Order: sequence, then C-alpha cells, then structure tokens
Amino acid sequence: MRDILHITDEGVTLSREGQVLCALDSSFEESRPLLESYLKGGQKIGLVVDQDFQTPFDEKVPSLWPWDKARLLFHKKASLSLRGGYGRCTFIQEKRETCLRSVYIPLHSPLLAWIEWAKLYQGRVCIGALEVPGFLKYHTRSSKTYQMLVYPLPSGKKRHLIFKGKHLLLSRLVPHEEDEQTSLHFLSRTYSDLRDGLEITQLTDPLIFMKFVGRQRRSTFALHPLKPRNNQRPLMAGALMVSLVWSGLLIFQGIGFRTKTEALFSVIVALQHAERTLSPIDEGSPSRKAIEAYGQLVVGYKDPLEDIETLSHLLEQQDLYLEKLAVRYGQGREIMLEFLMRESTKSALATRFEKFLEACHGYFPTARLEVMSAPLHSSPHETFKMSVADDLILTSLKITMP
Amino acid sequence: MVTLWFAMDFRDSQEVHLEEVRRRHHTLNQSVHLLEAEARFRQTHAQDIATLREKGWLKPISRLVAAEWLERLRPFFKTFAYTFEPEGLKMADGPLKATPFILEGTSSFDREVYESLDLLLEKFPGVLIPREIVLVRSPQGIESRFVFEWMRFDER
Repeated sequence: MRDILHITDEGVTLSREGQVLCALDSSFEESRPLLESYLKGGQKIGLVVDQDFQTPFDEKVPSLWPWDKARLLFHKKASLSLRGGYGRCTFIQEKRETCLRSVYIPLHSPLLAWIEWAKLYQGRVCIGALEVPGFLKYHTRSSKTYQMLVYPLPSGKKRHLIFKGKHLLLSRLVPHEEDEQTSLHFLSRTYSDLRDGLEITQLTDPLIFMKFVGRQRRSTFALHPLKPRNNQRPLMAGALMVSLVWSGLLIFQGIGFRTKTEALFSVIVALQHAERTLSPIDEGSPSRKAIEAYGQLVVGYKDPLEDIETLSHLLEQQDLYLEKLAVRYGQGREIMLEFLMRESTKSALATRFEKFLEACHGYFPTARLEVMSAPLHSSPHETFKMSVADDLILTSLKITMP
Repeated sequence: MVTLWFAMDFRDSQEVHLEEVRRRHHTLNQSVHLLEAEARFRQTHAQDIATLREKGWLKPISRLVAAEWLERLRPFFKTFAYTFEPEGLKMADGPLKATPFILEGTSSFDREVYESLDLLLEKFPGVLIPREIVLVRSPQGIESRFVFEWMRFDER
C-alpha cells in the first residue's frame, strides 16, 4: 500500500493507511525535508492531485473508424508532447458515446516540482476526481445515472463532484456551510433528470477515499511525462511496419514455394522409382532406330516360297508344264511364267488358255496380268502365223503385284 | 532491416530451390515418358527384336562364316556356286549396308530347290532380302538363280 500525498489548492496532506502523518500548507521547498523524514524505508508514494483547474477535459467525438481514432489520438498526443509537462489522453466509451479525455499539467505548473520529487519514491500521479467513479462503484454499488460525492478538505472547505457514468460533470470547492443544492442548481438546467436519478454520497473524512486510492494497484488515469517526440519516429514506425508487412509477405511466398517444392519432391521420388523400375535396354539389343529401319525394310515383304507354292498349285490344277519361273522383287513383285500347253484343236487351246487366265485372277486377285506370248502367238499384239502345230505350245505370262 | 533481409533471402532461396526441383522434375518426367514409350515400342516389336538378335542385325558377320554355312545347301544341288559382291550403302532406306549375293545351282528335282530355298531363308546367319528368284527347266535338271541382298544396320 502506498502513502498518499494529497495535494489541494491550500496545502498537502501525507497519509498512510488512513492515518494522517502530516498536513502542510507551506511551499514545496519548505515542505520537502519534513515529508522526506516520514518517507524512510523505501516507501512508495501515490500523488493525488485535487486542485481546481486540474480537472479532466472530455471532448465528444463522432463515431470514427478505428484508424481515424488512432490518427486523432496520435495527433492529440503529439500536440501535448510538443508542449511538455505531464498528461495523458485516451478514448473513453460509454453507451455508444465516445469521448476523448485529456488531462494536462503544463511545464510552468508548481505541481511539476511535486511530481518530479514523487518520482524519487516510485510515485504514481493521478487526478483525484478521476478515481472517484471507481470509489463510488466500490462503496455504494448504486445503479443510478448520476452520482455525487461530497468530502471535506483539511482547510475546512468541501469538494463537490458530480458524475454521469464516467463523465465528470462538476467539480467545485465550496465553503463548509454551503449545501449541495447550489451545485445541483448549476447542472439541473442542462440535465433535467438530474434530481430524480441522483445518488449523493457524503464522506465525513477524506481519508476513506485516500485509503481506497492507496490500495488501488493501478490508478484509473495515471499521468505520464510528455516529451517532444522525435519527428523521425512516425516515419521510422511506418518504415518498420512496411518492412514487417513486406517481410511477412516474402516469408509467406517463401513458405508457398517450400510447400510446392515438398509436393514436387514426392512426385520426383515416385518418378525415380518408375525410372528404376522401367527395364533398361539390354546390352546387345538393337536400338529403336535399328528396329525401325528393319521394319521399313520388310514392309510389304512376302515370303517367296508362298508365291512359288501358289503357282505350283495353279499349274498343277491346270495341268500345265512349267518351263521357266522368274520372280523379281522391287516396289512390288513381278512374276514371269513360261509354261507349255497341249491341246488337239485350236479352239480347245483358246478355251483352256482363257480358263487359265480366269484361274490366275482367282489366285492373284490384286495382280495385273499381262500376256507376253499367247499360245501360238495368238494374242493381238503378236504376229500370228499359220504353222504346223507343235505338241507342246509355249506360253508366257507376266503377273505384276503391287 | 535484418528481418527484411532474412525474409528476402528465405524467399529467394526457396524460389531457386523450387526452380531446381521443377527442372529436375521436368527432366525426370521426360526421361520416364521416353522410357515408357521405349518399353511400349519394344513390347510391340518383341518379335522383330528376337529375330534381329538371332539373325545378327547390328554386327557384321564374316563372309567366311556365311560361306561355310552355305555349304549346307550343296547336297541339294548337282552344281553349286555363290558370289558375294562388295558391300554398299543403302541410304534411301536408312543407314543400311547391303551385300548382294548370288547363288546359282542345278538340281534334279523341284523339291530340292524349294527345300534349299526354305533352309536358306530360315537359317542363314543374317537378314536376307530376296531380289530375284529364277527357276529354269533344262535338260540337266532345274537351274536355279537366287539373288539376295544381305542386309545389316550401320549404327554409325
């Protein structure tokens, strides 16, 4: 628990656990040695500023986007920082209403000497009025809209504080004999429902409130020193943010590449397995080119024995006597036949030769038949002469197959 | 700056790695496709491959070996002669080397001619492509003249 140094317009009071240690109305320089005599043994101080003109200033702001709020707060802080001193600003929100609350202690304020001194004792600076809502909530647990706290000060005057929720509506230092009606009168014109929804809490001893503040782990609205900011800082912060975002994007891309690589790796392993599994070409086995060359060479190849067998069947069937057979292989096949025929009459010879040609067509349906020499040179392209008929008549035929 | 540098380095290294892996994948993919195509080709041409292995399509066979083999045909003929002409290149049908050879003989019966021709086409150590077959009946018997091209593939 901290010792509380309660600073009012008339003087300061040092209290510890609800007990007043000393009350002084002299200047800082004169009060300091005496106060220090009470603060031996590593005591911590809570500085409660309870002066007029040190009340918080609440500015109602319209509903803004979060980044606009951040910009507004940034500019407000920058503006206060330029002036130096002590202060703080933040947004408070209540029932869909947003306010920018700021407290400022300027550089020339006599309070700064107290604050600097309090820092030697790990001092915490807070505005007394702003600790009141928490105190009332803890003590009264009232649900009324308006709250009023009245407490006496060591000088004999009283402090009137009126709140609507978290908002401080009025903070007045009034003579002891004046009651709260005057303070209410100030506000009743603006807040018509003030008298109906008001809860008044009167303290006979301010130490109850000081004890509460001393026990608080954190003050509701702790003040901080304001120092002019480095102009480069926002730029650096922006650069840092951009660099972080950029880094994030790069790392994200990198992870994407890594994921793709890992996916490809599994495919590669499968392909390597397939490559090993596929039988390599045996040594001594002909190459594809060699096999293709052989394929081209033997395309349309026909076993010569087949032709010879076919011809021997044909000649046997027709009862002909083969004299000469010549088979030549080029683009196609050319078979030259010379054979002997025997018939008693010329008409019978002609009929038999015709039958032989028909049989040839049957055996070689796609072939072209060309009579080179008909029996007794009787074909139209030959010279047919009357001669003594021979027993065996030579005939020749050319069979051309594609 | 360090974070940014690290991130850039990380991204670049991963991208380079991915490119390498992609190239490797592409090469392997092509290789496997070629191997598969080759395997399919060899499967469909299995019979040709077996024939070519048996006949000796790639290695040149000595004429002396071939001549010795031809002596097996001598019993089918009364007179028997063969001629191997100089080897020539047949570029029209691919890088093929062709040796024309002529076999002439006289036999008593048709059957002997057919049997010798059958044996020659079936068992001769090399790929033979017939060019001309002539059979003439004469007072001495059946005169035969076979002209073949003894082919082999020139790998070079």
